[in-house]
Amino acid sequence: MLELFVQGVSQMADLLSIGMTAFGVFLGVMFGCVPGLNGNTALVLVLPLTYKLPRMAAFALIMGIYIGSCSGGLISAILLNIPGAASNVATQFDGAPMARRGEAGKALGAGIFYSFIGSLIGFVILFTLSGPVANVAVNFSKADYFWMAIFALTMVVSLSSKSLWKGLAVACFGLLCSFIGASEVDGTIRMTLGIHSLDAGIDLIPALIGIYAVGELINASKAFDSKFKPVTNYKIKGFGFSLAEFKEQLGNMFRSGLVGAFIGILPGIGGMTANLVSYSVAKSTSKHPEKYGTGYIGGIVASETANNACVGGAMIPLFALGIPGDTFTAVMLGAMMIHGLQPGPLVMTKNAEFIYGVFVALLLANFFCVALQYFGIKVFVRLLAVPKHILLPIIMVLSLVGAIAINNRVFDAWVVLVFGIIGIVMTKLDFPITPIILGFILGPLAEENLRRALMLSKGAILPLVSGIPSIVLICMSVLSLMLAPKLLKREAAAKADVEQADQ
Amino acid sequence: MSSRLICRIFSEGSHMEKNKSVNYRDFIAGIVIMALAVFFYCSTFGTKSFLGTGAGRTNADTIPKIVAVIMFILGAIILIKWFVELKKGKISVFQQTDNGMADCTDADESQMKTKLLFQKITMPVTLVLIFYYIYTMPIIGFTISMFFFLTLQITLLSIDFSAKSWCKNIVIALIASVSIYVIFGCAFALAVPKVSPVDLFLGELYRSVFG
Repeated sequence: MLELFVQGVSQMADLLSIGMTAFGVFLGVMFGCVPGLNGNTALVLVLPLTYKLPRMAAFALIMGIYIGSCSGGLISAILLNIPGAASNVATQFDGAPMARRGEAGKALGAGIFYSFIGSLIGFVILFTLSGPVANVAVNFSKADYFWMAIFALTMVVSLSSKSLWKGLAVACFGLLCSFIGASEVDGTIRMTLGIHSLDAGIDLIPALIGIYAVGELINASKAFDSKFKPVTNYKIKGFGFSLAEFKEQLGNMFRSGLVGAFIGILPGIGGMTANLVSYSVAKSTSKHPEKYGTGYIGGIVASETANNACVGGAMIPLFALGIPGDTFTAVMLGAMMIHGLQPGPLVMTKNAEFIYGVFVALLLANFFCVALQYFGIKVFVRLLAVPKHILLPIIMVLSLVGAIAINNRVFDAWVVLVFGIIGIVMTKLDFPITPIILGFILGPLAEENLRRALMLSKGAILPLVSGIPSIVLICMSVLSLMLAPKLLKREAAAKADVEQADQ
Repeated sequence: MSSRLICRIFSEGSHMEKNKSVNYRDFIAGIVIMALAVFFYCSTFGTKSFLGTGAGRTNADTIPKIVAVIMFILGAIILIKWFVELKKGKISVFQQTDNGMADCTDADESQMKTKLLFQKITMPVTLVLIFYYIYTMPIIGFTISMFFFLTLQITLLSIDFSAKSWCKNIVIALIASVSIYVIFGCAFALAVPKVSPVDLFLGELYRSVFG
């Protein structure tokens, strides 16, 4: 274990990678704290840059953005009384009241500190679990792989959709989009309608940029301009809270970290669910539930520990199985492929030193994140006033550059536009977006393994459902469709609870 | 107030819906899913497979066809559910509770109305602008098409069409498009369409300065 860590450190030990981590954290915190922008927008912005950077530096930049964007929203949640990103909604519940009664410094200090702890918990879980998980997955048969893809899809559908039918329908849509072009097994061209640019299929990154970023940018441009006055009369001394408070919150801290990391591992949901669920768990198990929502440090601990722990959790399925859990990790998957890595459990053994380098980048980003937020908070507060009507078109231009530069063709810019329109229409019709993305990514994996498994079994169905991993995965798929709504109910309850207290 | 703000940031704009009308959203959703399924099913026609026949060999169009059929059925279920709920009178009727003006009592109301109008047209106009941007890129080159796109898009989002605002935005767009081209097209040598004299001139300039 230590040996792997040292390998990772040696991968990261160059100035470019370290500098890129710091730059990534800065961008992440900035995009995290401006309401309407988030980590995904920051990632799309730097995507063309990552193509040209060395592999390690590119992923150091991405890790920096991931960590920074999860944490940055706490600044606006506390000082502006508006969460900067969806993963900081619960921070506002107690952070804003604290700021209003003059304890902004304490709230910020606690938020920054527990973000750090959260990332640390996430890192430990990622570091210890990803290897073993990959080792299990390496021995999977073709049929097991097929069922794993199905399991990931059912999880995403049940966790991200209000209506199961709608989620399943758009998952099918994502699968069908991924089938366009040459099929994985025999290279047969299909479903291209005679358009030769589609022969190799639709590229993942232009599709992701379109379906996620275009709609997101247009929505962000509709959000209000920030003419809110942040709370400015605060001072941070130390981290603002006492040793007694730290001891009191110890249990809450570990529980929130575990809740966050677990939610991160589940595909389809991320920091947004993590901070709300963790908040509601902390409140219901606390000795003083009445204090939550009035400016109690426990609320900040629960929310900020959980959303950052989520990052480490979300990367376990990405690296160990090749299955991304959210939009951010989906773009990371695309970046992995651009840099010549074939996602899947083998990555952990074939490119071990690189993967552990990414883990070290995550740890390093965490330290940068504390330092940057702690000493640079005044700068970030000023950045809240960044004129969005200028920034958004520039991000749009750069996202198109990112799409065009992948295959050196303008065709991919059209893919961005088409998927952008699809994303907007689907959102208007109240369809969840994540199942489309996951369907698109898992389509080739599911199809290829099913077809190969059928060839091996000579068309018999029984061998496809009789392996032990297959049986476990099938049961888990069924369970996920049944149990997930309960988790969502908890999130909704937390939201309703606080809204009630708010009025 | 803060919860309302959260809703405004994260909601998909459903508060803009009209007052007192039947909610056709799921009806349209079902139709769209079914239409897409038919489209994908038809797109598999004429697929040739090189795998040959044999035990357990599926054609390249088999699984897409199965998924398309499942998608059609799911679309039908969404549609049927909508009809059932309509019959039961359960279809929710939109109540216009928050039109985005509630929190802005101190702002000038007529100005707010123009702003809301522009927020409504932002999306279609933005899409048209992106369309023309991509369409003109290979014809007039990367830098010039980006300059036009940025000027128009920034002005649209700023909702300020005075001469002063135009001048300011033209300068911003000029600086942004030249620097983006120099950074990504020249320094990182990404393959973006370089056809216009402006692109070529900037490329020459970059080479002469940085070798």
